[in-house]
Amino acid sequence: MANLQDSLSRIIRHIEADLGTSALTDLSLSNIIDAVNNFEYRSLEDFYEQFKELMALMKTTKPRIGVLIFHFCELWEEMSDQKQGIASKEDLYNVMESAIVMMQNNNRSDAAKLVNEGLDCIQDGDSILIHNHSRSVLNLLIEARRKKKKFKVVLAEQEAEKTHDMVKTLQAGEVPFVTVPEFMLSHLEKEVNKVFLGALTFNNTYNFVTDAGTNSLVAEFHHAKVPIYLFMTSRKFSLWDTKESQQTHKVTQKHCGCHPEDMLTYDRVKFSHDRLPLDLVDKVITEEGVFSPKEIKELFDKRYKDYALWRKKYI
Amino acid sequence: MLWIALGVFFVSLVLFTFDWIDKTVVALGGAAILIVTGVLTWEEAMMAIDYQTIALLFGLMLLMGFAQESGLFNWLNMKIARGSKGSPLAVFVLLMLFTAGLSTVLNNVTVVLLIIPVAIALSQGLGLNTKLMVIGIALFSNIGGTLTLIGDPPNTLIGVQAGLSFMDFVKNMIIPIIVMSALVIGGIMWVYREDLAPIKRNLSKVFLSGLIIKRIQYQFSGKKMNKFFVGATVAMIFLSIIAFVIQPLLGLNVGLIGLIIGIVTALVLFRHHSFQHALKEVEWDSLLFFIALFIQVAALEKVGFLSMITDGIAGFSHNIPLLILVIVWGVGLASIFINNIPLVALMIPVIFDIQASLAGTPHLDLLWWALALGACLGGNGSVIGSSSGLLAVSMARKHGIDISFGGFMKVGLPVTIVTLAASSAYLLVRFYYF
Repeated sequence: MANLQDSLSRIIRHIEADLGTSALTDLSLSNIIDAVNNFEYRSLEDFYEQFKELMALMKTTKPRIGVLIFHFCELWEEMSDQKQGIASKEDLYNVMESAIVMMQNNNRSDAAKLVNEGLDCIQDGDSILIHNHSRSVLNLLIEARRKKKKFKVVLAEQEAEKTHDMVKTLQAGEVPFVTVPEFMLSHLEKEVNKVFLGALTFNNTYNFVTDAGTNSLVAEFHHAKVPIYLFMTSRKFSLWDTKESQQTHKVTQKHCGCHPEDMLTYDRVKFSHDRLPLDLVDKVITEEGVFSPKEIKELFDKRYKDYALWRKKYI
Repeated sequence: MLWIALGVFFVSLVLFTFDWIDKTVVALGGAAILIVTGVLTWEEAMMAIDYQTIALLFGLMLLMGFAQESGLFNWLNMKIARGSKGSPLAVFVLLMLFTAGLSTVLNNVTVVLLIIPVAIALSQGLGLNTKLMVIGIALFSNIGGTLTLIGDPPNTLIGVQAGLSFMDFVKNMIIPIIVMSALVIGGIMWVYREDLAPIKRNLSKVFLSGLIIKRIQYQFSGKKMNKFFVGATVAMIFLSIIAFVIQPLLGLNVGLIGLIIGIVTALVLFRHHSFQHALKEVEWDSLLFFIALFIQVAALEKVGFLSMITDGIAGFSHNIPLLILVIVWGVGLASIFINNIPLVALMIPVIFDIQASLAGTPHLDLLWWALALGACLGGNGSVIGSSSGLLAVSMARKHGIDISFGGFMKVGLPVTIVTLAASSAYLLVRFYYF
């Protein structure tokens, strides 16, 4: 079980890092349909038991992906509601497939609404700093460009592959941008007038989970009184109790520093994600509108309360 | 002179085995010493180089450089991952067969480079026995490569120098390779049956394997493939196989065919992949290694060392079955620890001499197949026996998987013994019954 848990956490971290949370969610949902198809049933009861085990595993990944856990619970609800009508593998497959297609459509519709809500946050002449690998932010910038808004983007470089992917996306969307190493950002504090971010999730400790490196960047610009805008759909809220250890993953590895004169080997510590406190953010934009930190806290608390019964049922 | 030539060759062998210094530098250094000390003259050294082998390798390296750039192999890898549906047994069998198949036309090292990343991603993610997968790929790259003239460097050396065609190799090697592949896959499936047990009844594992396969799919299909580039590459690979098959009818030597294939590929695809870039993908160090080895072996021949070995082996017995066994097992067991390329380069003139001294005896051609089978399969016995083994282990280490010398041998040595035994049985059946 521990092995399976590690493997699942690892693959989820990798896909999230490669594609972002929205694509991870979409891909995982499609994968549930494939898994239902490929799974060899002993009985429907066996399937329900094993689905519960998979749900339990999803709740323990590092980091926990709130939206995915939410969808797993939704699927369980759907199966429970329709249990009477499920008599065969085909019935089960059909119920799961239609529920998943609906979830995927809802997610896409929320993502489109988020972009619409976010458009008002961009004005002509803006100089926007971006850093984390957020599809929501990239889609918003591309849409704003399509709507002929005149702004420029400063892309703070992070891990080479993520930066490369963001550069490719910005270029394809014809968004004007420059890149700058993330350790040289202090020189741009006066030039940049907004910081745009995305997040994996927002949890009951009132922290966002974001790409590694975001926290220090946001702290720096918050200190310089540059407004910080965070974009995420409310489905990404993590409505379960969160332990600190579940938000990031620490990796210590032997690193080989290759230099023409020296080959050095040393321990290098890396973290998968950052925790970003809500009070460092000025505006949170969801598919439902633009929220202040106080308002988003209220919205979260309300959802958290609404799902108290769910938590009892599924944890 | 004898001692200089012998000293250079055996010091080189030791250094090749332990890989302390780049093997090409060692081989070239040795060749330079032989010329400077007058064991060989400059002219003799130049005459010793088998340009046909070099041209064949160069042409095929160019073709494979283009094929790799086209994304064809990544696409095939992705299909394998998808076709396995995450079943451990299917992952294992498909990867082993794909490795063996690809090795028949590709350099073993290239095959390992292409397949190991997918194998590690799949097996690590699925919680399978990753070490077994990595070792299996190294072993099957050697087993598959044994089938053809271009599959493994020892075969290329033997084929070109002994005048054996692509089809000669296929006709003579297909049965033992199929039999031993089945034996090895069956044996591993039996010994490691717990590691390869099906996961279809475990929903979490099925879900996890699906996620891993999806990641492999987008990772390896991320690069847009140009239809013309891929189509032309596939066409060139097929054309080259056809050219090798009908080589006796064409009346061209294999070196020239290889060179023509490489140049035509570069001409057809120059818009998609620059020739300058393709040239960078040619393994120049391997070509130089071969050149230096030809010079070192020529020196051993000139000083009479090869005649001494020939006399030793031929004098030991005129019994062909016994000679077959001596070559299969002698070369095979030596290849466990010694680089098989210099060993084969050394043995080729020896076999020519044995054939000359036993002229008129039937089935002398079997000695070539004994040499090819012994050299290609013996390398599986240890991690240092073949470059694909060394590369596979070092790639695994980069992913945090440590495969010890003993760990490799635990799988590799039984496989070597089984495959050498199967080779011996096959050659003896050929001798007595056909």
